[in-house]
Amino acid sequence: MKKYRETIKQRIILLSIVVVIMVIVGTMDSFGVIKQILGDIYNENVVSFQTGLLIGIGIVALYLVVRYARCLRNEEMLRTLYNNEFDERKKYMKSKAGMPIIGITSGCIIFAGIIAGYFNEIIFITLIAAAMFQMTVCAIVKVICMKTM
Amino acid sequence: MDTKIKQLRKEHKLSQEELAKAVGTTRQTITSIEVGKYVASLPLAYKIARYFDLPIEDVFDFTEIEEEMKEEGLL
Repeated sequence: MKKYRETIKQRIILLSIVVVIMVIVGTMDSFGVIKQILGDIYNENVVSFQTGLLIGIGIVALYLVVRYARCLRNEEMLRTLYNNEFDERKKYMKSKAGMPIIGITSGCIIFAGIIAGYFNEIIFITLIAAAMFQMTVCAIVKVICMKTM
Repeated sequence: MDTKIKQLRKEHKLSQEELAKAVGTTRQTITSIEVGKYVASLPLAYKIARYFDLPIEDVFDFTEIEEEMKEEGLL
């Protein structure tokens, strides 16, 4: 449990950095700095999606920081978090649903979609749709596993 | 796989949540094992058996596996 506590502390630091980066990027976007940087390749749709995604990641990261910080102060909550994270049934369900590979590939597809989106919007939409489809299938398989296991 | 976990829990006046915490898993996993939807791994089965101070075969029913082994001529 001592080792896990250290892991949680490291996660808090990493997630806090993510939150700070998201706040900086969000602020830059709201003041039109991103538009200036991108110049000719600026695309309203791609940037809006990118900003929304970053805000979403920032909110999730902030939620996790608060949750982990609360767990560090309460031994009972930390134990529950540990049990939830290392629960063999949950691990099995995740692996059946294709995690973490699906998550990694979806992330890569979204990243590639955003980059490609500055040059061709159709590629952007196609790649984002592919990533969404992949994640939806993963979620459906996980729900089915939860019902049957 | 059939188990005697539910019966043992009742004898020890334990809730699923309490047993789950004691063996380092979740309540949902204990529920799934009890109803036979999920087969516990060897380490988890061992932990549960140790918690009740019983050998694994007294907690988990291996009759089906033994029958399969007999059919295959392994027993």
